[in-house]
Amino acid sequence: MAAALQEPTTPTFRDIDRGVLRVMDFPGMAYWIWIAFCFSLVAIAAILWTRQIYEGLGVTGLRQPVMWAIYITNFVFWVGIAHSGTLISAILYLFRTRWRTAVYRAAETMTLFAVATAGLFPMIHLGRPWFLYWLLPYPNERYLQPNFRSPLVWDAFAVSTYLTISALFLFMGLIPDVANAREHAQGWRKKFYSILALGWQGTDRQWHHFAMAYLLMAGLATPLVISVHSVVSWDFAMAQLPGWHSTIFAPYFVAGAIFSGVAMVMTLLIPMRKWLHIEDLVTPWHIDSLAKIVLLTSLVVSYSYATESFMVWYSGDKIEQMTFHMRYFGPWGWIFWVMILCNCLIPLVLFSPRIRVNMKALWIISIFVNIGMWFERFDIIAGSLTTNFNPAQWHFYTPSITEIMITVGSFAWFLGLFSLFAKFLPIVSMTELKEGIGFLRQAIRKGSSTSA
Amino acid sequence: MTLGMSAAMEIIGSFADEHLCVRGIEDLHKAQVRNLRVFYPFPSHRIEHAMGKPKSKVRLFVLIGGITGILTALAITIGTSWEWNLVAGGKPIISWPPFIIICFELMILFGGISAVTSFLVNAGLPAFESKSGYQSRFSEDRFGVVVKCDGADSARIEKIESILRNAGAEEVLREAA
Amino acid sequence: MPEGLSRRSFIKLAAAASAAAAVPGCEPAARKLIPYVVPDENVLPGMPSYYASTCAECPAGCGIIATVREGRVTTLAGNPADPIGAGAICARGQAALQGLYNPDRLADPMLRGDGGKLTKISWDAAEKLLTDHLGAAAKAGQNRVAFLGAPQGPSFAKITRAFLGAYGSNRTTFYEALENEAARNAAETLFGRRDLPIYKIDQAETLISFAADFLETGSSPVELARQYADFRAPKTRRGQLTIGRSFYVGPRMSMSAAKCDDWIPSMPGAEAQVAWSVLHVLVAQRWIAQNSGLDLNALTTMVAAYDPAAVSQRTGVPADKINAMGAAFGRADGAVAMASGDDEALHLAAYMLNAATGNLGRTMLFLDGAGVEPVTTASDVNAAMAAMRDGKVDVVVINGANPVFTMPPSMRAAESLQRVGFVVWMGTVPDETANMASLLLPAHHPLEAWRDTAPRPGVRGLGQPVMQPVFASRAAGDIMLAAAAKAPQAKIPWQSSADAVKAEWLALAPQGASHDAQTEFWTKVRREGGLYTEAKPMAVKLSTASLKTPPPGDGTSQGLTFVAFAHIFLYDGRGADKPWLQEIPEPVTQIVWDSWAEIHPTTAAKLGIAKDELIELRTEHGAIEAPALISANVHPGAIVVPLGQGHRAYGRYASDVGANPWKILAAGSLRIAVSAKGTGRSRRLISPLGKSDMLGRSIVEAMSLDELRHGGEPEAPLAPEPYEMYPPFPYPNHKWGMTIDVNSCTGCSACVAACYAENNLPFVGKELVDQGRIMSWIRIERFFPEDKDNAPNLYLAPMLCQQCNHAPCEPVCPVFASYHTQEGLNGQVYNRCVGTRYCENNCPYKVRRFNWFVPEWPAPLNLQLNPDVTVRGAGVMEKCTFCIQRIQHAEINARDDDRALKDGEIVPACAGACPARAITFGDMNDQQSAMMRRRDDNNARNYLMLEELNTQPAIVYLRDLYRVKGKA
Repeated sequence: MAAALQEPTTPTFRDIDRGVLRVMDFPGMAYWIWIAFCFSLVAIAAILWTRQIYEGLGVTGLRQPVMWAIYITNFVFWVGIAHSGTLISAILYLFRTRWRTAVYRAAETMTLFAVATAGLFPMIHLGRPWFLYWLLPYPNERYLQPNFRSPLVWDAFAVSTYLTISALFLFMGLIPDVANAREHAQGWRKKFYSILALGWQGTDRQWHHFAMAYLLMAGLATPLVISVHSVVSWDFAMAQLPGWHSTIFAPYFVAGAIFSGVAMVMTLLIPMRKWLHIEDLVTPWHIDSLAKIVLLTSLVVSYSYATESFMVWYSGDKIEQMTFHMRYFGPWGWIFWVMILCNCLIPLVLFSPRIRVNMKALWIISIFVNIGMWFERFDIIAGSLTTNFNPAQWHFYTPSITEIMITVGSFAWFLGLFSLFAKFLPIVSMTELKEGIGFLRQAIRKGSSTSA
Repeated sequence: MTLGMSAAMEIIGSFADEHLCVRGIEDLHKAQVRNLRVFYPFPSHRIEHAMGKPKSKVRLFVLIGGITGILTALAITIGTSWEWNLVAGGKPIISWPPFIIICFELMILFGGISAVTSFLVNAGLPAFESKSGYQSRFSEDRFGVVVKCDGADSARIEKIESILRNAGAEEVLREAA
Repeated sequence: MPEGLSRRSFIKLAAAASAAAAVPGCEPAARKLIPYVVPDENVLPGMPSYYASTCAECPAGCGIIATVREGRVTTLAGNPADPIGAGAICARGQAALQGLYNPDRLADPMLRGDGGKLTKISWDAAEKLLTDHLGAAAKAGQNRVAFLGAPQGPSFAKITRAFLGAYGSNRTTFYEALENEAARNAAETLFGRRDLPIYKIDQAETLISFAADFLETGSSPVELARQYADFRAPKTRRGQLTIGRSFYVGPRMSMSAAKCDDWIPSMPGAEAQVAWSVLHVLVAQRWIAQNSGLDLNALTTMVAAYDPAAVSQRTGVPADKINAMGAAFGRADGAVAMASGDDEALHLAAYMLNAATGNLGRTMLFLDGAGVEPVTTASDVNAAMAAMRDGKVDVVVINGANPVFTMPPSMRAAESLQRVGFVVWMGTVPDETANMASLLLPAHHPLEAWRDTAPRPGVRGLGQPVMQPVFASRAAGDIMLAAAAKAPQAKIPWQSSADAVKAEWLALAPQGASHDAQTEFWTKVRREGGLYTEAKPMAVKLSTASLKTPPPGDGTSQGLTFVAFAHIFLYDGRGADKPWLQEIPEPVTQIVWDSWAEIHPTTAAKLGIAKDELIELRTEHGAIEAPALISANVHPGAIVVPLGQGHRAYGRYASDVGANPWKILAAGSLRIAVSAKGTGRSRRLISPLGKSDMLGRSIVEAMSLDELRHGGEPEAPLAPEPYEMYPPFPYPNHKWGMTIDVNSCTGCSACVAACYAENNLPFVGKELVDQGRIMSWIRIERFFPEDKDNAPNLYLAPMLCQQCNHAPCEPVCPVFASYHTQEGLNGQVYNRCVGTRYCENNCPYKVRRFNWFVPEWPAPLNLQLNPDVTVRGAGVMEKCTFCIQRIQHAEINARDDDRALKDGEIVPACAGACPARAITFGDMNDQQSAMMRRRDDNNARNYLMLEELNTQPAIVYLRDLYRVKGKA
């Protein structure tokens, strides 16, 4: 299509700067109410968690034999959300995908905060959270060390690595932008950005090393993102519980993670580009590309479900088959079918190009995908635990208000942090937009032509 | 680069366009003017290429970092297993397969950290005073080529200015360094 | 631990313990810490002392050994020297501890003022009040003082009589709620004696139980469970490998019924006819023993009316079943029939069956020698109550019985007591009867008091106190003796009940023994917990004179019959105040903390009653409500409710739980015509059990007798060599393991209670059980068979940590809280556990337990906690480790005396308690250990739970054995 377009001249670099920096103007009342709302929900969750620590996990709905449920579901869900960020910023960077420039900063930010949210849940779900540090090796007078055979220790390493790397990656990308912001800001903001910018001035020397370091970071983050969710999936696959003990879990979970993650990016970007008036930076063309990824990963996920079920049937393992029978047709069958609807069927409408640029439709679909993926994790975790090896110990689980409110709190926590970032740091990368300005110019034409 | 201490000065040519900036750099190089500093607002491969720098040392640091990560992981996993040698699930004390995962994660972690740190060190960040010849618009939409030269050598200054102008600089300033 | 030791070494232990002190236990009150500044000679900190005593929880009178730590009794075990319990103990016996430490025990004497308000008074005041009233009553005339209580042994009886005598009365009423009077009457009719026969099931080949729950609440459950296990063990008889043949005829599939080959459902009350019909078969087939001294012709005419076809007509019990029973009974070399209930005809028939087949004196025998202290007959009890009602009694002293709760309305217990001027109640936890008393006196718990028992000729149990009183209570005997001493012209031979007991026992010493010999004897009996002599079976002559035509027995009505039965744990209600007994699931129904009305699906459908719906059960005497338990394990004509619940007093754990069936029963009977209807309201019955369907997984396995004869089922061969990915771990000194015989296991849950006591397991209450937070480390797994004809009636087996060699729980623990010990146990380090709960997720058996809250033991229940076992805090996973503290204890002992561990020296709590001896513990490295030999001897029956997972459990189960229905 590039051929079809004569070389356009707008937007200019200045337009980009203005567009992005306008977002960072001092926020209005509505914004602060929103922030207050988010963090008061967080406060409620915090109070309930304190009570849980004080009284014990009995305040949750957990029971024999369902020892893991909503907390671990949230953990997996949020780690999954995190993945798309790294995918977009690192993997697509390596592939030199052009449309990523407009969305990757938002995605990366989402990654960071999603991991930060996910990281809370292993803590929240512990019986004795104050001993969490026992999962890490450190010299101690008792010569006690963690058990590196345990997937939970792999988790501890993988997730903390992931948190560190994605934070560094985000920070690096920010440096030139905050340097730019520094030049426009006044007062405390100027100081703030100056400190963040570390005195960056974009000299040839700085750019020279920056480029290499950024490339290598992308190169490191790419296998990391695959490994992290594989490790998370092994929390289940390494157990021998029917419904968990499966070799396809790693790819299956990674696909699911990207699926839900990209959906979450859409959930955030679509309203954001409207409210922050950055429609001409984040164009329908960008969103369309995201939608394509959602469609692709949705198909991968559907395929995984099919494979999983086929393997169960083909294995002839009666116990495994019973577990899946219960998953489909048991008292919790509806969860499974909601999941199929949200993850396999609804995304199919994305085959239509018109839907792919219809923001409202996309937003609703992305919400469904999020719901579906949450249910998927819940069904795998709590459902499989319910139908374990010993029928005398089959019992169903019902969540308690504590668990529900802490889950709500985690969403509030995530959105609150994201909103703060969006208002005080460049949520769209100016430098990279400038780098690929030609494509942005085409995108705007394309976007306006298609979405019109 | 050695400059006459007496009256060193800088010639700053600012370009509105990446291509012109590149041409300016190339012309200067043709004219054996080498001690340039270029400011530009986004990572420009053309400029990089024009400047013709050797590959960044960051690569080496990352390699070292990654290897250190693996070794650290091996030390931790094997070491602690020996120190606290308990049987679990009928598996040997040194059950290496899971250790690979730790090795991998630490390789990434150490590699990533060393990438960022080595970038900062090599790029001379954090920098506390402004580079001479910097203008704020170089962080926005302008490309600046700064040439240091001896203030006494007016002929050379003229030459450089003309090269910059001919390359298409929208303005060329002189500044005492 | 003594219950596993040889008798000699046990006595050594006991000797070390109870050497000197007449009253053992430590000097300072047990609730205080012991000041070791002045160490008590009997208290070695950290070292247990063992005291022999006798169990007072039911009339069986087993001997027990109390483990006392720092002056507090922590666990109870069976006394190996005692022939009845023979070292085992049931759940009820162990729960005596929670009676002793019950937080609701009466702490001080209380006086009921006007308006029924209780006020605390001093002991002196209380005694004065008592003696004043007694004196006044004595002045008023003869027999104006009465005693009403449970039979508590010969010495106590003497004390009671002396006490009443001192106040000119002889109104002693020894009242046992579940007294089997019909059986005594029948025995009198046939044999001319009123004591109950002793059964020797292990001498029989065939057993028929006519509604007798001999494994749960019979005359002697522990002893009979042991015998039944032996009876059911595979033996070669007449050249063929076989197991005992057993039938159960009754309205409800009780635990005993479930363990029999055939449960033959019958109308409540129809059992007698069936029994007579079985006799008819014997007579018809000439299977009458010569030595029985019965005239065949007389018998023929006697049972003429009970030809199986006719009886089948009347009762609906299939004739072929009756014939099968007759054949099995008549052909057997040794057979026994047992009966229970209020139907005298039934007992007569059962006795006749035993007598006619020459089993009198063989499987059912009356022992020579002093009979037991007779329980007051029902008529006399009624007379006593009537006397009270008629105002003939001014003072009644009540101890050990709860007539207001256990007497049916027709006996008008409450009304009678109201008419008595001064009701004195002596006891532990104030019950419904205490609520009627004017003076409440805190009495010693049996474990705090001197007492003795005479459960049967040849067995005398000596109950010595095992610790200092927990509360400011006094022995009931002492209270009465003190009062008696104050009586005018009273000459009481003893100062205290201790004296009384000692005097009683010195009389048992060898005749003309010197003083030293007597002292020696006295020490000996206290060490051994009693005096056990061989009692010869007594030749009783059968008098069938009164049996020209036997009574048909009642209850063949076609209407709906209400049947109450003694709950295996709560018994007649006395167990209801003990949280363990409330929380351990009833083996067959698996229900906790409630009453239930078991009703057949067809009946429920007919009455339109839904699951868990409260059924209103109305009889001429009143009405109760209980949630419906719809199950096929009950005869359609019966609605069955357990006794024991429905207290309105009796402490926090008993009060307002379930319904009390006595309220709607007639006197002296546990069944009555009833009208039932749904109330529309419902109360969910709570059980920790999930599905009752095993889904064909190898959890509780069984094999038919034929399969056993062919050496194991062909399609399920023995364990293949486990696939090893890594070199196996060598266990240098020990590898602990267990062998559990599912065939012996009756489901009685004594192991569960033992685990609660030994390992400080908290009880959590009904709500938390419902929320899946029950804490039992060992439980009875119960499943219903899919193919009823080709399976045991019920799959029952103890489920505990299998101590897998390749334990799934271990590698997933991130902090090594769960790890493998050098001796092959799945160790669990509580203070290392961070509570990820991953181990339980990965445990196929689901035997780990998580502490959801901080566990609580309302004082003084906490005094029972075993100091060898840590109390786990919230957020920690816990589990069975084969009682690792006992393993350590034994290993340290062995190391101290510088010797190798002996096989059988270590006995985990569950194994020690098991009445059926189903659990054997030992070292898998020692091929000669009893545990390994038991595996080898039953090779064909070995199986591992969920073996295909290759977890390589250290517990090998022996398959349950059953007969394919309809096969001999």
